[in-house]
Amino acid sequence: MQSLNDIKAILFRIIRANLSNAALDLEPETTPSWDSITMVDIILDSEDAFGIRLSVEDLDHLYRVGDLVDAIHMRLREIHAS
Amino acid sequence: MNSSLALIRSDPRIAAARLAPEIDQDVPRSILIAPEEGWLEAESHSNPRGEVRAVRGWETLYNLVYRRPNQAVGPNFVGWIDSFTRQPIPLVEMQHWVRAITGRLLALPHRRVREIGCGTGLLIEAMAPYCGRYEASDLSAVAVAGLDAWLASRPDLAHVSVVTMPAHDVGKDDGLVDLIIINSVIQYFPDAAYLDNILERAWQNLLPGGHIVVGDVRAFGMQPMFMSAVGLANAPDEMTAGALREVVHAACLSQSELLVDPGFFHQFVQRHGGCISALLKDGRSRTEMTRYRYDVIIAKSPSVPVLEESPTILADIADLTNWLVAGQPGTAVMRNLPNARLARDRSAYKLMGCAHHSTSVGVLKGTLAEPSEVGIDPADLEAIASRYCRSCTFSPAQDFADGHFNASFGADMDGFRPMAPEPVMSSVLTSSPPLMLALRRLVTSLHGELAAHLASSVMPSRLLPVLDERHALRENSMGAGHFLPSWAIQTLDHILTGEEPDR
Repeated sequence: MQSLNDIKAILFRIIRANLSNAALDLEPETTPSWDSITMVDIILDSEDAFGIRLSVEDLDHLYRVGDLVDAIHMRLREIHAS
Repeated sequence: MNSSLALIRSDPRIAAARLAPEIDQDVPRSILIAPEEGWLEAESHSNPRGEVRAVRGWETLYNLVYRRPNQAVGPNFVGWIDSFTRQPIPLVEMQHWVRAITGRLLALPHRRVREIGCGTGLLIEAMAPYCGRYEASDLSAVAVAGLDAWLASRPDLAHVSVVTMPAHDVGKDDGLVDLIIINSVIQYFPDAAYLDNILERAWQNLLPGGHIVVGDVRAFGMQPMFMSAVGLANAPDEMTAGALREVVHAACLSQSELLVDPGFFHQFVQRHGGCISALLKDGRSRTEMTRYRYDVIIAKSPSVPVLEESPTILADIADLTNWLVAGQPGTAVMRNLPNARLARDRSAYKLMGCAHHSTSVGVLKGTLAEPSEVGIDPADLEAIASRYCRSCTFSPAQDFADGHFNASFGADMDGFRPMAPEPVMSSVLTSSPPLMLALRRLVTSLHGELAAHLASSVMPSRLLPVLDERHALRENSMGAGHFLPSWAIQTLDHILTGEEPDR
């Protein structure tokens, strides 16, 4: 199973493919080029890259990139455990 | 800057690139890029994977939109944001919007209704009390869960069913209905082929004499004027016209939604032998919905109605008044009227296209304070006609892209008159969300490559793709225009030939 750091590295590449000023501490509200479409593209690219689908409950808690890292980590742990 | 150009020109996806006109000597110039034709062609076509991803994207987006904490259960206006103010659209405007579309829907047979994309249930609340059966669906599980909870408190709406389902699965195993509603939804469809498939299924699911209502369609040809008006509204006064033109150019390319011109629906009806009315949105308010969106009513009529006689052609309001006072039988039309709701936006678009690059936005706004065009408000014509108990309907005109409309006046107050479809000349009647996505990714990828090799001080302000005529230009009997602003189209020849644009 991928570690938190592995997940962060992959996620950083995904964010860079969608945003030119990528950084893991970005927050949508304070990043001018980050709109809802960018947010969705990052979520979909992440789901494809890790082979997961985030649930409605996962989306409920997504506000920063760090939240996405946590959600992916949790989904991967569930897959690994099963 | 030369190193930026050299790097971009070496990319196999790029046919040509050149510096954009200088806006400010202290600001790095942007770079205009013409994508390579083969790459563009391949990216323009949708594919099953892209379609699935697009549907997933809108599902995810609306699960995010509707998740907001403390959101009221049941119909509400969450997610309706004004592009001009970036604030929620005022409640009174939204209530009027619901009343206007509900009035149109209730004028049609509506015993058995199917709604595709019901959202938080605004139309269910307004329509369902008058229907015998109401089947609704939405892509967002969050929206459907909220609706289920609300319906549990409404025993009077026990005949309403709601399911979480994408549009392409609706109506596969269900019975025939009188009315299929697709309101404010098709902009989220992946592409024109998907929309065509949904309409095809809806047509098969209609009882004879039934209707499909596609509401709130975003007009494709009006896109440059809309984006220019929004860009100007949101620009600070100190910004220059040159910079604003680049902002609008980039904003047009960032659009992810499917935009459709009326001709698309006329073509669909031509193939199926029904009747159609494309109608401007009702209302006196000047929201972006009443200015840039329209409704389409498709009737599965057994035969195309035959007009008893040619309508009387009216030139102006004086003509109309005389015709009404005379109380003549039959129908009358006023053609290609400039819509007053769009007078300021029309002036703004023209002004932005020709302003000197150093002119400030403040000066542009000052010039527009007294618009050179006035136009006619459809609501004024409606008020005049109603005084004489005559009906009237407003439809997109030949110059719809510039906000022109036709007004038709009838002998009674029966508003909706299905017509035979009109001939359509153009083959490009919709935007291409797959192409827009590809261009966004191209720009981000090129930007990343430049950032990896160059110092930030020599990075261009923007990378702005420009498309050739086949992708960007369109002309047809239902309005002529293109989805990029005029100044972006004009630059293509200069990119390819290397000549300096003359502004």
